[in-house]
Order: sequence, then C-alpha cells, then structure tokens
Amino acid sequence: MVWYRRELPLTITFVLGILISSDYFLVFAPLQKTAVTFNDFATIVATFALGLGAASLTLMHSKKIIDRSGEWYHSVLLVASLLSVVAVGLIFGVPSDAFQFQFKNIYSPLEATVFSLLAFYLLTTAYRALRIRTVETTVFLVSALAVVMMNAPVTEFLWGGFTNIGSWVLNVPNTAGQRGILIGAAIGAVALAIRTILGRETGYLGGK
Amino acid sequence: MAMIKEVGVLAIAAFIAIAVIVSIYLVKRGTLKMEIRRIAALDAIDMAIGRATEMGRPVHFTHGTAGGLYAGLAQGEAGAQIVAAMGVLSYVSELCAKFNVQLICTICHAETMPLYTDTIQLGFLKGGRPQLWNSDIVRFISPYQFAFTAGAMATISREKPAANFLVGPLYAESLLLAEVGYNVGAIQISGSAYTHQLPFLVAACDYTLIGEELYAAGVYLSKNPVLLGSIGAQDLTKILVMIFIGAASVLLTMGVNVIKIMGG
Repeated sequence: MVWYRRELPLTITFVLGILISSDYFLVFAPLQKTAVTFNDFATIVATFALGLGAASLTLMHSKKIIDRSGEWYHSVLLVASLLSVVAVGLIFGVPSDAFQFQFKNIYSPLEATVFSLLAFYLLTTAYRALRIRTVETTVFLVSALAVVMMNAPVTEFLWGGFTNIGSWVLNVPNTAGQRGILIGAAIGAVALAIRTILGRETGYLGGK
Repeated sequence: MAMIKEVGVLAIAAFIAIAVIVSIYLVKRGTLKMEIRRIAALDAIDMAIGRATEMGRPVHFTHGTAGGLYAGLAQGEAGAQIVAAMGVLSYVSELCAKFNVQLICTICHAETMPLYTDTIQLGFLKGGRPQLWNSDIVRFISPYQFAFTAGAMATISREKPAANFLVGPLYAESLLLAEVGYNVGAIQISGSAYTHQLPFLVAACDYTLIGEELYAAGVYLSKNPVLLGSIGAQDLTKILVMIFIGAASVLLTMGVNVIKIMGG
C-alpha cells in the first residue's frame, strides 16, 4: 500500500493527538494558539465536507430522477427543497424572514412530528422488553413498574410509599449501574485515544 | 513558561497510557498472556451478515447524530465513539464483500463521509471484492438530527435490511431507528457509550455493546493478540478505580473527604 494511505494519516494523527492533548494539560500561550488554529482547520474541513455531502446527496438523487428508479418522485421533492433553501438563503440572506419562514413553518413542524413518534415507539418497545422471560427481564419489569408508579399522580393518592420505592430504584441501583458504565466507558475512551495516537488502533484506516 | 493544569486528570491519563504501552510490550514479548471474554454483540456480526446473505437483503449501518455540526470529529467524546464504530464498520464491510452482500450506510456528519468511504473501500479490498464499491453506499442525509432520522428511517423501510447496525454516539434517534429496524425484521446490533440511550438500545435491539465494549470492539474484531494487552491495561485501571472508590467511601464515612483534600 502506498505510504500516503497509511503512514501519512498515522503521522498526522500522532502529531495532532499529542498537540491537542498537551493543550488540555498545559498553560502555554504558543501551544494554545497552535491548538486553536488546528481546531479552526477542523471546522473549515468540516464545512467543506458539508459541501461535499450536499453535492453527493444532489448527485445521488439526480441520478435516481434521471433513471426513474425506485421512488424517484421523493428525490424530486428532496432536490427541489434543497435548491429552494439554498436559493432563498443566497438571495435574501440567512436572517431574512423568507429563510426563517422555511425553518419555522416547514422544518420545525416536520422535526416535531418525527420526534413525537418516540412516544409510540417507546410503548411498543416497552411492551416487547417487559415481557417476562428470564430473571433479568423480571427485574427489568419490577424496576420499570416502580418508576411508573412513582411518576403516576394517582399512585401518590393511593399510597405514598410508591414515591420512595421509585426514588430508591432511580437513585441507588440505577445510578450505581450508570456510573459503573460511565467509568468503564471513560477509561475505554482514554485507552482508545492512546491506541489511536500510537497508531495501534487502525479500524478507521480499514484495519491492519 | 508552561504550567501544568488538571493534574489529577493528567495523572490518570498518564497511568492509563503507561499501562497500555507496557501491556502491549509485555504481550508482544510473550511475558504476558491475555484473553478477552466473549462479547455476544461482536460474535453476532458474522451471524447477522450470514443472515443477510441467505435472505439476499442488504445490511444497514449508521453511527447516529451526536457530536453536532462541525463537532462530530473535531471534539467531544462523540468523536471517540465514531472512531470506535469504524472498527466495527471495517469488519462489517469486509464480511459484506466476502459474502457479496449490499451495504448501506446513512450518515449525519458530512465530515465522516471520507472516513466511511475509506473504511469501506479497504474493507471490500480485504474481503476480496473491491469492485463492490460504489458512491451509493454512503448516503449523507442531513446535518440536522430529525431530518437525518426521518431519512434513515425511510431508507431502512425501503431497503428492508436483514441486519441493522446502530453503533456509535446515538441520541434520541436510537429508538426510532431500532423500531423501524424491528418492523422490517432486521437482526439488530447496537452499541453506544451514552448511558441515556443504552436502555432504549438494550430494549429494542437483539445485541448491544455497552460502554467500554464499544471502545474494545476494534481490538476484539482485529483478533490481534498484541492489542489485547491494552484491554488488560483498561481492566487494571478499573480495578484501581474501584479500590479508590471503596477506600474513599470508607474514609468519607469516617469523616475524611478525600476528594476535597485532592482539590475536587
């Protein structure tokens, strides 16, 4: 494999990894300035990547429209929406009423609609997950019931103890488990960062 | 003159770094032998791709939306999870090439597109079918969370993948994508280090990589015995952290606040 496919990315990863990590631990003005510059580079590269992504999206859907393949009429809608947002933004500017209208009256309601699906999916997932099959699912069901009882206003009226049981489940076993996972994940993330900086973790380069 | 800050964090990071380097060195020399426990979610990848091969249906992969525009790889722990997810994608793409299965990736961060492209192309090369690559595999949908989610849900509904991989820094889209995957009958393998999404993934998916398992995925799948040393170093650090927490709890009960003494 040619050197720029492996050695160059590994070298850049090593140098920048050390540089950005050092900036976190050291108070040293020149280092801080260099780190800020490289962070700005990252933002610029990401902005170009956004253009690349938009171009790829347009090309892919244009090809679909030209070939009339699959549900091509959806692609027409997508390309038309993409171009209209870009056109309005370029002509009237991002802070303009015309541009904001698209966000407030088209995008935001659509976003809220997709988000609201969560409520229904939560219910179907909970139904599947809470069927008693093993000891673990039984514990899962009992814990879930305790928290549901704690949050339902009617249970407070029936018996105040539900609040205590629910709070205990949330604050003791749940918090302990979450912190255990968090500590493990944090140590794992540091180890991954060290392997990546040292060029040992090469999954993002397609492995060895 | 440079001054050191965050001394406590630096000490822990330095300890982990030294432990990782020493463990890798010892395993390489043969002084230390490491074994890693079976991780069901990673073992199930072969089965999931095999299922897709038998059913003649594609495989879907996404890392989710966390990280935000411009911050996906530039900063934050979301970037670490994306890098870890690439280890899984590398293996998945290799298997897809080996068994001639169509791979579809939906992405929210445009800056990850070259990363996906390179990882998949090399995976296909390793799997013996580099000609399978085409620009339709990696689909950038939108940098906005729910626009992406709607697009990814539509892709899963239309393409009906036999295997759905949700691995990386997933946010609220985790349950939406997992439920659509369930509805199309896909075997679902997920993984995240975000504790607020893990309950959804555990409930909705067949297999889940929990927290540190995600970060160990690359090493586990590479089957590189030398790199297993770094997993041993992680475990050693965890043991020390547990001892510290236990000792600090006892001391706090006795009225000595160790965290306060250490400046926390």
